[in-house]
Amino acid sequence: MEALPLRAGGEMDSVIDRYQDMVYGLALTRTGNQADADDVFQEVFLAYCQCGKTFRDEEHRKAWLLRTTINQSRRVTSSSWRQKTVPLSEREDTPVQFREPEENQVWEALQDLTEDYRLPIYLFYFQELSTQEIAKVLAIRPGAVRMRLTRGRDQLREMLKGAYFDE
Amino acid sequence: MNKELFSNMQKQMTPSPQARAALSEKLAQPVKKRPVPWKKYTALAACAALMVGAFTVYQAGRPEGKTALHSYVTVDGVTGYVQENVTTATGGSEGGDRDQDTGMTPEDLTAAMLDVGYTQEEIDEYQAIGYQMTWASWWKFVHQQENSEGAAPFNLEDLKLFSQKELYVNTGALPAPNTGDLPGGAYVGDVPVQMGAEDYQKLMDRFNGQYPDWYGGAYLDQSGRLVVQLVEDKDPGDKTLELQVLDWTGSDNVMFSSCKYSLAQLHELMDQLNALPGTDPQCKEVMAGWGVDEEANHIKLTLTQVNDHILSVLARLDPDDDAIYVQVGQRATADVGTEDPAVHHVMPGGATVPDDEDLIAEEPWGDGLDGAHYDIRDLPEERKPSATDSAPEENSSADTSAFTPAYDPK
Repeated sequence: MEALPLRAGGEMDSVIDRYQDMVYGLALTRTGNQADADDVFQEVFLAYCQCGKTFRDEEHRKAWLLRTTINQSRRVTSSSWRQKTVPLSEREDTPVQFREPEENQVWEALQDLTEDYRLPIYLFYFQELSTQEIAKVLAIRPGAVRMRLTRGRDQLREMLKGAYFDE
Repeated sequence: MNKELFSNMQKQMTPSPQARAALSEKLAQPVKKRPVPWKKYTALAACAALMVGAFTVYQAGRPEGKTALHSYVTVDGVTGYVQENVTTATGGSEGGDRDQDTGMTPEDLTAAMLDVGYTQEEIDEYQAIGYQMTWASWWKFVHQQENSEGAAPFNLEDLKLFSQKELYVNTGALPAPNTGDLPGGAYVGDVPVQMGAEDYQKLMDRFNGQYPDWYGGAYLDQSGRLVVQLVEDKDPGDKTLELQVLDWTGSDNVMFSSCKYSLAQLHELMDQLNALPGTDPQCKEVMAGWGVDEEANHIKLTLTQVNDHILSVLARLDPDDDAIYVQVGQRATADVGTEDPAVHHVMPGGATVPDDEDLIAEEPWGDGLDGAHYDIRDLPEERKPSATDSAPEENSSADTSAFTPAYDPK
């Protein structure tokens, strides 16, 4: 993996290429809406470009991006403008579409989880973060992360009737 | 869970090309500098100014009666903490004050020693040496031993050493011929103590009654070495004063310690306290005794009772609340019920004189005598109180802690 400059703002294209899927995926999981996820994606990298931070290492940069994505997603979904505005039909009804039916099924089940369970599940299974890393990103204890993963997994298993689980 | 499934899903979660293009366009624009939040800073500064102004107005508007009060400690039960003339140098009458201190009769001393746990044999042995113990010295000793870390603070050796040090420091006199050997092999003319006392005298000779601003007092420590207090506002890296003192004393055995107040400042404060009984009857009523404690670098003031008036007066004299140590306790009297604390005869230096007729109480304020420059030998000889003509009848039921200066010259 190519080493990127640890100071924010340099080689933006490379940084975006490396982390755009992670940022967008988390934003999509958090907002459940492609348009909002696009907004969050842009806001996160703009903030990254302007923050002027120098990161200790790649893990530090990754954690910062994840944390900023969650914050930006919360800001977008909780803004009063959004709460008082009726979305356009095409935006509202544009579901996230995956190629395979089972993928859509899993996505819908994931969206049915509450946010407390949805984000740990996404970060653990999609981004393959450890419980320690998830705890840092979500600012909760590792024990709480494990508990949410267990409960979230149980709910998913129930919703999916045991399908797509290989454990 | 199915890793491959999640991996495939993750690959499909990518931002739209439009979003990526928009982001690239925004990134290409020059970064807008964040405006300085002047409004926020201005509001904070205004709040701070408002608070400062309000506090100033509040302070200015406080009535006189609400002025700050000086702190004090209450001494319960033990009248022994009522200290008078606790120092060797008070009120500008160097050396002479000790002689004006109230002496203890043998009965007083016996009772006091029994009270703190000495045996009759130890008392007899101590009295056989012939030291003249004063009440101030006794309470100083008690206080010192109570604050010591030893398991048995009240032992005969310590008392003898203490008496020996007091004798040297105050009079410079040689040990009495009947003093003999001290327990533990120490002789009365113990070298460290004697040298410390000599160093002290040399230092006093240099000062000649005029203390410099950097001098905070001096005392002999437990081992008999002279400890000179230097006012702490001088440059810690500057050792000229230490070298000067060592040069004056001609000794390498002098220790140094830092303090806040110079002795001159404390004496100035003493003068103000000395003037209080004459100008303020309310203060006069409750002031029992006071004197400079050079070791503690403050003035110890004993009040018979406390009231807001004297505490506010003391707060004005001592704004930092640490130059005067105020302790409140009922002054001990031998004749319970006819309490007449000698508050009317406070001499400069805090020596409390029982009666005007006492020759010792005659302050040598004559021509050419300013109180700090008279020789102890010019004073009238001290009248030694008889052991039998003034001591009250012993009341076996009385609290032994109430033994006090029983000396009544009438």
